[in-house]
Order: sequence, then C-alpha cells, then structure tokens
Amino acid sequence: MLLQIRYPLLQSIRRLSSNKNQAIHRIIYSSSTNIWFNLATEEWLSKTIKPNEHILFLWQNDKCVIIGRNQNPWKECFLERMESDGVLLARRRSGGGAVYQDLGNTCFTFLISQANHKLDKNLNSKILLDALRSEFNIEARAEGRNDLVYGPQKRKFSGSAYQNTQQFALHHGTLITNVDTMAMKKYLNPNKEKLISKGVDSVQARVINLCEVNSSINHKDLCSAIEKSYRQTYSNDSIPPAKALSREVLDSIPELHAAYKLYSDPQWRFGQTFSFTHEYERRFPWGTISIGIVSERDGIIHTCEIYSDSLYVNMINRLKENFIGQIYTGESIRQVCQRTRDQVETEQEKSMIDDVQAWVLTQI
Amino acid sequence: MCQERYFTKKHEWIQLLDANKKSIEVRVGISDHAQRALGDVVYCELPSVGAKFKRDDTFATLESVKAVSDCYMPIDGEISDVNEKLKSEADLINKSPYENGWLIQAFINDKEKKNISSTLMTEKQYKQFLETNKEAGDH
Repeated sequence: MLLQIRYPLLQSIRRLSSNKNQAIHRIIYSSSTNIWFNLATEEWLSKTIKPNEHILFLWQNDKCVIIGRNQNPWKECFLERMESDGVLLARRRSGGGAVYQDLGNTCFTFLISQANHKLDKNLNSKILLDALRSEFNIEARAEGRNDLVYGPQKRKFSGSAYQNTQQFALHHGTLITNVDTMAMKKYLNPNKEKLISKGVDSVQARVINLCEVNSSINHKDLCSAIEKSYRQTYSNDSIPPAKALSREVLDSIPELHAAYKLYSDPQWRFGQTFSFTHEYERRFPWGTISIGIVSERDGIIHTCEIYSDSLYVNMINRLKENFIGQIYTGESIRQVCQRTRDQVETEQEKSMIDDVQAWVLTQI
Repeated sequence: MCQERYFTKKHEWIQLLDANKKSIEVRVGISDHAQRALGDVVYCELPSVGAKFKRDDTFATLESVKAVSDCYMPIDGEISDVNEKLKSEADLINKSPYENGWLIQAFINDKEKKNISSTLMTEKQYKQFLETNKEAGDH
C-alpha cells in the first residue's frame, strides 16, 4: 500500500532555502487518436516519470469503449455491435467503469512522481473547472468523488479514475464536448440479466455534452484552456512550452511498443476477467435452444451446455464441443459455427447453424 | 493465532501463523490506517497459489472508489493461500483488516522469518511511525 505522506512545514522551508524538490512541469499533447496507442503512451510517461515531475497529458480517441481494470467486457458492452461498427475495446489499468469515447471527447491525465510530491485531485478538478469558467463561461462543479457535473440536475460531463504505484500517482478522465450519445446507448450498459459475473460494475449517469451549454466549445480550444489554467495555477513555477508527441518519436521507443502490444492484446482486453456464466434461450421454427456458457477466467469458454428439442443431436454435440476452449468473441463464434457447418451434411442442419450463429452474436 | 503482527512503511502487516514442523507460513494484509485511506474496497486482484514474490514486489492490487493501488510483499515468499471470500466480499478488508480481511498466506524460509523482526516495525513502532508522519486533514 503506498499512501502519500506530506511534511508541509518541512516542504515550505525547503522551498525557501533550496530548489531540491522544485516541481518540474511537462505539458504534452498526443498526436494519435488510437486508444491503445494513447494508453501505451500514458503508461510510458508514467513509467519514465522522474522525481519532482508533474505531467499534464492531453489526448483524445476515435470511437472506442474503455473498461476499467476489473470489469467484465461481456457484461459492460455489446461486443458484437462494437466489432461491426469498428469501435475498439480497450482496458485501462485504473479502476472504475466503462466509457464510450469518440472525437467529441477530450481526455486529460495528471501524472505525478511519488518521490516528493502528492497528487491532489481536488486541485486538478479546480484546474479543469477554472478553464471552463474563464474561457467558456461554463459554471460547473465537482460531485461525489470523481465526477464533474453541470446544472441543477447534476448532469455529468466528466468522470475520473486513478492509479497508485510506487513510482507514480495517476489521475485521468474525460470531458465530453460533443460525444455521440446515441452511440453511447448503442454500445454500453446492456441489461444482460442472465450474465452473472464478478468484477466492478459501471454506474450509469445522466450525461450532458458541454456544447449544450456553450456551442462554441471544441477539443482544441478546450485543451488550450486547460493548458492556460494549469499554467496559471502553477504560476510560481516555470513551465516550458507544451510538446506534441509525434508518432515518429514514439515509434522508436521499445517500451512504448511493448505497452502498445499489451493494450491491443485480446488476452488483456478480454482475458483479464474472472469467472462468469451466461445463459440464453430462443425458440426457432425448427426447435428451442438453450445455451449456457461458463468461463472460469480469461474469457475462455470452459463449459458449454446446449439443450435443444431438435432431433439433430449430432449437430448440437459438435457445436458444443467446438465451443469449448475458444475465447468468447464474435470472431470465435463465427469460426466455431463455420467449422460445425463443415462437419454436418444436410442443408437443414447448415441452415440451423446459421440461425444459431446470428442469434448468439446478438447475445454478446 | 496469537502471534504478533509486524508492519511495513507501506502499511502492510505480516503475521506468523502457528508453526507446523514442515513449513513456516505467514499471513499478510493491510493496516487499518491503509483501509481507511483507501475508502471502500470494491475489488481485489489477488495472486495465484504457488506464485513467488520477492520483498517489495507487487503481489496484489486493490480497487477502491476508482483508485487502483498496489500492495507490496513485506518479505520474500511463495503464496500458499489467498482469501477467497474477498472475491465476493471485497469490503471485508475495510470491515476487518486484521482478521477476516486478510489478503494472502505465504510460505517463507527461516532466514526470512528472522528478517521479519529485524527489518519490520512492531505494532507499537508502526503507531509511532503513523504519529510522526501524520498531517491534519490528510486523506
């Protein structure tokens, strides 16, 4: 457990007498809109942070759903819809719930070295709220531990998540300027009653896009405003000009590549999941099918029960056997059904498998 | 299990379990100070039985109110048991950090057993450590 400890009197004496623990600020913009790449960049920044450094990292991502460290993606989102629409699934290392992001969203990260300083999330929130007030005339406030909200109905436009390690403390989050809220509904928070799993659940919130409050707000201007507010907050420290991290620079850093490989790896994204069961049933013109999937961990199907009143017992058994050991994704489901199709002889059976495939894909 | 607990500067505790002749086993958890600072724990990521760790390695992470925080091994050891109850009741860590909310058990060797009392703090020393580092209004 690393809990930050401060020595306020000693610190202020130090400030007067020497610059030993003088904060070194870095303001960095990402040039990529790929969520895995940006998470990798953020991780690389965290792992290479030096004592006394404070980093402000500003970024955004093209269509994606990001789940928290300890969430079950099958429970949190509609995986097949995402796959069809080219929406990436990512898993972050910080905690909390699932979010949908697109280019109408801005991400911020406050990163601090644990060596001599302490992350102050209230100060970070203040930096963001000040930016909204002074540049966009938006009067908003912090609510609960992690949210920023607007208006009497406390509609949420920002959520945050945190991570503490020996080297660094990280506070990152979102600010929605003009996110596609229909897409949010399309990909998130399915009510899959018969999917029982452990893990952290998301908490739904009523959201508001900041453009509803001030129609002129956009990602670029918001980032400028946040940078300005950050500089004003730390006006006693000298802060060099902001840097944009280009793809060329990052491509030459091996640690970043390793991090990118992890964040894009299906094993990390789907597989960091504890056990879950998923059951569903459907009546087709040719008979009823009940499917029960048990995954003990890693998103792999360890047990597959299929009950059916269909007479094609052989087909059902083959389907069952083919599912076991596969990861529970759309790609796998298609492969399994295709393989089973090749193993049966009648057109009737092949058509039944097509029906089952189409149906199972809507369940995930 | 009346053995005394020892504490680390990072707020883990370690306790020797009643000795059996074949192996030395310890139990590890986090202190009351730590659980209060964390807030409600909603999820634990615990290691597998058999995993080996060195002192100061991260052996578990705890998620609380969206902060994911690492837990560090007080000494070298091999995981012999994890607290399965935490999978469905992570908040046992808050309710009972020294008893029902223990995190892991591990086998250690004789050398490490001696290291416990020489390198870690007794409960009294830990309380003093908290006092001298306390700041009003922190956490």
